[in-house]
Amino acid sequence: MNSDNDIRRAFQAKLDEYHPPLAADGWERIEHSLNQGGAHRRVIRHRWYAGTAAALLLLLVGSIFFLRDPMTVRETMVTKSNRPQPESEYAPVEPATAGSMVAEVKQTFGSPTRASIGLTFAGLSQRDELLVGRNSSAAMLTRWMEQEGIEANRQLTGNWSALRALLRRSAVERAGQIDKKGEELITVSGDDDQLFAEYDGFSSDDEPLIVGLSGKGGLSSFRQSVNTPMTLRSASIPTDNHYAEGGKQMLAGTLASDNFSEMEHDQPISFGLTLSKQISDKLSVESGLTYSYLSSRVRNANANFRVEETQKIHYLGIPVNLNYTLFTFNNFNLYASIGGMLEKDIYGEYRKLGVGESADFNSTAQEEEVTKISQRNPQLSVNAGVGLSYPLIQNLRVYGKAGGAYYFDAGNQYKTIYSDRKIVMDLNIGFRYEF
Amino acid sequence: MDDSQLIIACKKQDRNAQKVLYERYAPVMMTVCLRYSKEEETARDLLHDGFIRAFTQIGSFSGKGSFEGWLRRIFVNLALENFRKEKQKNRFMEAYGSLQKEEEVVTDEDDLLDIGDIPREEVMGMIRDLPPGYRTVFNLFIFEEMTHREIAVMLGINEAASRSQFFRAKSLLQKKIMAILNKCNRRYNEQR
Repeated sequence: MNSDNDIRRAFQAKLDEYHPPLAADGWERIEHSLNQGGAHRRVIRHRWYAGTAAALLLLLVGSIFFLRDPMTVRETMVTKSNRPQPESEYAPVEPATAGSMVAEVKQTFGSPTRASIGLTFAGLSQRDELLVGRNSSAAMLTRWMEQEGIEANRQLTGNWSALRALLRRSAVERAGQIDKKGEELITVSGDDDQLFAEYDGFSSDDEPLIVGLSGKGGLSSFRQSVNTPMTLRSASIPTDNHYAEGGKQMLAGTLASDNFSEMEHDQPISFGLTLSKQISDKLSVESGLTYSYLSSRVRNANANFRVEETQKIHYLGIPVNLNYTLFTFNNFNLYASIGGMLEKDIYGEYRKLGVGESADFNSTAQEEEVTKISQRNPQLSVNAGVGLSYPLIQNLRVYGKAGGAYYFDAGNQYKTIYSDRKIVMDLNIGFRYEF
Repeated sequence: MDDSQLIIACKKQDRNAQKVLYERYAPVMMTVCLRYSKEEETARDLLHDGFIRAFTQIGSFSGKGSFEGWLRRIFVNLALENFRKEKQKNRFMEAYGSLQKEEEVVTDEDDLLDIGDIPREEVMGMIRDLPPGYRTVFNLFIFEEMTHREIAVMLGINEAASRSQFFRAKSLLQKKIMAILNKCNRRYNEQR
């Protein structure tokens, strides 16, 4: 009867002198790969740097382009009114004279439901504009301009009182108030049959509070396979765990080639509750509370030893973001977002399973260690992204945002995707409700 | 030039030394690669990748043990990595073969695995034809002389599974050996 040892001897003896033919170009391929190896790694690294730089440049240029002057239409949008204007009601528009004010009518359309008209007064600051028609529809504004005989892209001249009268004629009591910057805001509201204008400076107090509920998932995980032992504990942090240190030494004591090590960080998963508030027409600030879950594992194995480490860390974070509406179309709202987040772990568990068997010393060992862990320092990150929102019903909007975050080195004891990957791309989906 | 001199030169990335080392060990390592691969192309790739890994990590070879043993471990590890990848691709049942089918194999212990008269190429072919899981366990047990406990740790399976895989590998090999021997006997009888 064959024992396993007999079988071993028989097969080993049979194949001991077996030497199959080699590929003729075997060495040439190896030499080529060795020559390419270093250069290839350099090329990949340079491509990564170039890609990152290009993406940042694109984001910067895109932001500047969109943020500069959104959707200003300078061509004439309104034909001259055919309706005779009762001169007695309007202040006369006089030719420009020295010291008189010059106003230029500009009409701006953002979306079918938002439009504005501005009068820029020369002699004051270049950027000062007289805005009319926040919240008014483009069609309604056009109708109003026709009704009032206001022509777009027309330079109006006259003194202060004349220009103010021009506005006053169509407005009610408070129209025509000009603040020290020379800025006057008039809202046109009502329906097409009953138009009136009123003074309406932007006030954040009037803006609704928006509550958001979101879920976020990382778009990439982290995986590394090497021949040298790895651990989830940062190398810079001394460990007080006898077993872990022993295990590391056992692993380190073996030849690198004998070891197979694999480290994986899963994509982070987050859920958040946020509140946001408009601070200007297009800009809103958002903050709240975000919960994140990170999991990681490391496997080290060689002929005599296997160590598996798993780690789960739960974080709570406070995000602060600025959202800027780039433009709106067909009720879609495209916005850019930048911000940061401060996170601190609230619960962490580190589990280590070590199994070892040494043929030389005829000994075996198995040990499992479960430790509650806590990161020493809070985690700071900055993020940027572009999102799209769409109204589902009434005040409820659904939104999605694609972006990425950079995680600063927190010098913590336990490795996570934050410490090893640094830049994590993510996809954020959620709902916002306007109160 | 002996191995130690070659290794010193290889640590300095001397291409000539690397070539000599390759020519010296490639045949043996190709045997290792073939034993773990069904396809010859896969074995060639393993040989290529193994030498690349060896030459890039040769700095970690302390010189205390056998260089051939060190090199061999690189190739075995590579083969295991390849096996894990394949296992992930094909999922468990395909990688380990159909257990139900192999349960039916009946073994006669007296004739077990008598490969004395079978040519080397045939023996190698039989091993390579084993399902990946059986082949890997068989190789680790027979040629790397690992215990089932060690194999279980290496492959992330339990010890009983390793024993079971090995038993089924032996059963399959026995079946193939019997077929070959019967064929030889028939040919011998025909010639007579």
